[in-house]
Amino acid sequence: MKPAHFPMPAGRLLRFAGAHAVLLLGAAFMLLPFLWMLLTAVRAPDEILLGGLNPIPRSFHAVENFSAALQQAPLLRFMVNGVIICGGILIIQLIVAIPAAYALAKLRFPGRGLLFAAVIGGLCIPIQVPALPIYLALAEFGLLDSYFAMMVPFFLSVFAIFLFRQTFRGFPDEILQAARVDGLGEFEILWRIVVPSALPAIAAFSIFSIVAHWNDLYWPMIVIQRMDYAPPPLGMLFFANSETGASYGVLMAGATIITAPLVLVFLLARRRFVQGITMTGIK
Amino acid sequence: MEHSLELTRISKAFGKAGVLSEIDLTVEPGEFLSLVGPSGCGKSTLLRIIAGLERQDAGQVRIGGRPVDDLSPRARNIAMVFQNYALYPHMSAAENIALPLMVDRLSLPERLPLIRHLSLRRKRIEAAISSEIGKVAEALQIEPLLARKPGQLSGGQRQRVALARAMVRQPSLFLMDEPLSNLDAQLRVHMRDELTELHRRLGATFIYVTHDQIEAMTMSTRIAMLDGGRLAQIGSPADLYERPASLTVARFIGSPAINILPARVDPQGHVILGTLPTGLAAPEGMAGPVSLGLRPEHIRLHSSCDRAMPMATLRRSEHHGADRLLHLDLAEDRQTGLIVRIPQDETGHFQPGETYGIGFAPEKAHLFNSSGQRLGTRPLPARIGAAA
Repeated sequence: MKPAHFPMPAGRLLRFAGAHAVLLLGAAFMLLPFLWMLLTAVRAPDEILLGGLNPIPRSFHAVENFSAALQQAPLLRFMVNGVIICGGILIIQLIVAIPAAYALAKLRFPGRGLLFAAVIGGLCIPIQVPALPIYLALAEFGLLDSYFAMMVPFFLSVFAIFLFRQTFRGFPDEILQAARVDGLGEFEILWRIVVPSALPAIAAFSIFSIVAHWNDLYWPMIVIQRMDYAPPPLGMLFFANSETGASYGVLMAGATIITAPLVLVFLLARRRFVQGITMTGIK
Repeated sequence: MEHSLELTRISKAFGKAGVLSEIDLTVEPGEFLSLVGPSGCGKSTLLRIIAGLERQDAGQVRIGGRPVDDLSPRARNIAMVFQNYALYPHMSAAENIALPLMVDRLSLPERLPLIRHLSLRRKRIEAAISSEIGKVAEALQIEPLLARKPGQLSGGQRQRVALARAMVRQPSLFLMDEPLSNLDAQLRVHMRDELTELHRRLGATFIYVTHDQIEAMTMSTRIAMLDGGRLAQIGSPADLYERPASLTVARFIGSPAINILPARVDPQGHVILGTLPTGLAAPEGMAGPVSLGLRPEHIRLHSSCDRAMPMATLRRSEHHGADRLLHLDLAEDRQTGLIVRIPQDETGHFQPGETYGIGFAPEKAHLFNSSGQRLGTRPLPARIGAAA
């Protein structure tokens, strides 16, 4: 919001201040744990439990904590694993969900309503429900302890289908018909005409997906035993158990390193992300 | 490149609602045929069936004598201009115009990202395409706009880009779905001119859908009017205006609209308006209620109070430049309004509140039976109330 060039009337000023106070409080509530993480990561071990929220540590211990974290745990390995898993999941999710959403939004075929109802139904089922059957199947085929095992339950994202379907529905039919008259096939219409104009929604979904799977602990913990395959959160868990014990400074330094890529991705894509979510449903 | 178009017994229903029933239509090569009708009459559906975007339930479409029912829109070699122009939003005007040619001339791998760079002939083809775009752009005077995206163009400019995209393929048929309805009034008149000129220059066959009878009247060589999914009449603009086949056609064509007066046929076959004979006779054996249609310019007002004429009271007079429109109420029942068009320079004093006698030449009157079909008329030798 642009600052006003003339003095605000008292009532508006009060409402403005009130709204921002609430927002600030919310922001503080969300950000405090991260602040604490950052503070802990730069403090000396003896100061961690005493220092409170004093932002300036008495002795700056960041170098020691971060180098310890990097040396003691294969953080880079965890992050590479995270990138492979998130990237693999996202690519397959998009490849599956975009054509499915297009068909549900724009093509006429028998059973479309039923399929869409199934998608909505799918939205209501959490991963914990099919976890056991999937685990058993993976075990049966000897696929546990692999990247594939960590990615396979998420290849088909009903949320993505739903989100893209809502976005595609607003796309003018006339343009699709023009493309058909111009001789494009349905798949070419999809990637040449529809997808480029749905980029904000795709970016928004990508962030949702990456954040969810980068931070996911539940599923990797079930299917992964070996540290080589561990994504960041599971890696941190192994690391906390085995090596560091109670050295919180090092642990938080590791957590900071692991969280940083996500924050960077979000900051870079922030504008598109907000666009993508607010655009859904509006033509 | 002009082609004929033949439709035989085309029918289409959406669910249970019949949209088109048994449409027969032949369009000669090089014709400018307008499909008109009120909204919901099925004209856009018919156009989509011709384009191949919609499949008819029954009947056949032939383009240039060849059945095309099983061909995709692309294989029919048609071009279509849409109401909202349907430009690809993220492509520049040049890319929009180029797309149909790219699809025609490049194979699918040559159009794929990355892989297309492997093609040796792609550069050559793209160069040829871009010179063709240049020619079309020059013809439509949109060269300075080629680099812009549709969002940066005004309505008229988008319309031209859409036309260029249609023209560049040199299609056998141009299909247009209310292409001018989103333009402001002034631009619409201008584009009407341009389209007529374009049709003359290309000599191509145009099928033009509109709900605006003025567009149809001014641009077409022939007009096909649809009503309730049926072909109500087909003919030249003058045919539809001067000999409307039904009440619906009569009401739809012409502005201001035709005056429809309730009348009846007495047992002798004379057409009676109110209590007065009109000097018209209905066909043999016809009796009962009928509708009498009179174009606004065919009515004459007489201030001399001849009681043998139907009377009407002037409500108001409108200045329309060269013409004046007089709104009257028929004296017998105040329900029936009457519009009369007279030239501005016609002498005579027209005062609101005054009463005038109504006269018309019987040969200019249209007669419709109670189901709205046109009836033949014959003037009677004795003309009462019909001073010309």
